[in-house]
Amino acid sequence: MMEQALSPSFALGGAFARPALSGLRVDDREAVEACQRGEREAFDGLVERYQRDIYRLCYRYVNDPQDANDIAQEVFLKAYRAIGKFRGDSSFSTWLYRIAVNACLNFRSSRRPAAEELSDALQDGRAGALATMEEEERAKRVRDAVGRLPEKQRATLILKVYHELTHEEVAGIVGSSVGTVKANLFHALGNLRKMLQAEAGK
Amino acid sequence: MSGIRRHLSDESLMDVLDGAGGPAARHLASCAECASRLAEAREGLALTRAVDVPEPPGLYWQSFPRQVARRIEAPVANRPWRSWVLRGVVAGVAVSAAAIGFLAIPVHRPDPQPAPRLPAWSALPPADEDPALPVLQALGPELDPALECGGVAECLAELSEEESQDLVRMLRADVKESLL
Repeated sequence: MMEQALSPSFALGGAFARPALSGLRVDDREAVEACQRGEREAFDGLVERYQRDIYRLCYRYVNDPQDANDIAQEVFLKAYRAIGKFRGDSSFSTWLYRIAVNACLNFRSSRRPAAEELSDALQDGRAGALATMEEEERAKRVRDAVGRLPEKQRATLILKVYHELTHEEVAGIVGSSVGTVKANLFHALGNLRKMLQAEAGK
Repeated sequence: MSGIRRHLSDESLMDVLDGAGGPAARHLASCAECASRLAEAREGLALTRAVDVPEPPGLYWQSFPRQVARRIEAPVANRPWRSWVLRGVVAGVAVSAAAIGFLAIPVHRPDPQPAPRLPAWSALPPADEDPALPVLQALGPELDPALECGGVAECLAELSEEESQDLVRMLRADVKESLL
């Protein structure tokens, strides 16, 4: 029988319990193997499966839909070009997240501060997602605060809170120990709350 | 009695936030400082979780794999067309325009040629009415080495829909900014 999804998070309850999703999946493995045999179309399935996760990860980093779109495309392009070297030491999703985090970090370091203005093309979607101006303002404050966290804290928080990865998966992506990931996340949450509280008190 | 007399480490507090019980959780009942730190983190978590990523328009997810596939299948020579490069070009255009006060200098147009062809998708004003394009054309010779294509007009014509929209948007914003 082929390997089924690895999902260590099943064992974790509490604040970060999540449904089965990422991990080494049978369909990922088949698609990766097909890509490695040169079947380009097989990659489409991987893109369809992970496009939302990767786009959202990128969005969390750059707070801009156009930039998130650009980076997400770049992530898949890089993944496709490097897929021949993927040996399955980690799950495909972990590998892809690692590429995405690196791409986001590179983008941020080469770029002016994230634009505040939304593109016309994507504005409709946002308007539908946030009901009121107050919610919008609050969401913006949180996103800005996340953007001000130190790199590792931000990466850890985004991957853990928004993408519901396990501590082990996050550790593999950001290149830290599990203990460091937990400490970083705890710091990030405390820092975030302090930043938001300080802003609210202004 | 909790069994832990020192304050909990961040790692242990994170475990408690994850739902772990045991001595660390019991320690919180008798340590106001650790309990307070945990409460702060819990509040931070709630605030963070409450914010979602705005969902793109309906057709976005259908078109995204096609865009990726198109880029994968594009010849390597076309890679400079990535918007990363375009953004650099746009920034260069804006800076140059601001520096030379481009409104005061007659825009040099090369030999009479058909106007740059934008893809038919565009719902934006016609290309020759867009104030950004003459700037690009005027700076064309300077930009060519960076663009690695036959010329600005050819390059514009080869842009994908998304790249074109992105370019026009950025040009407008940057030219507007440079005029302020």
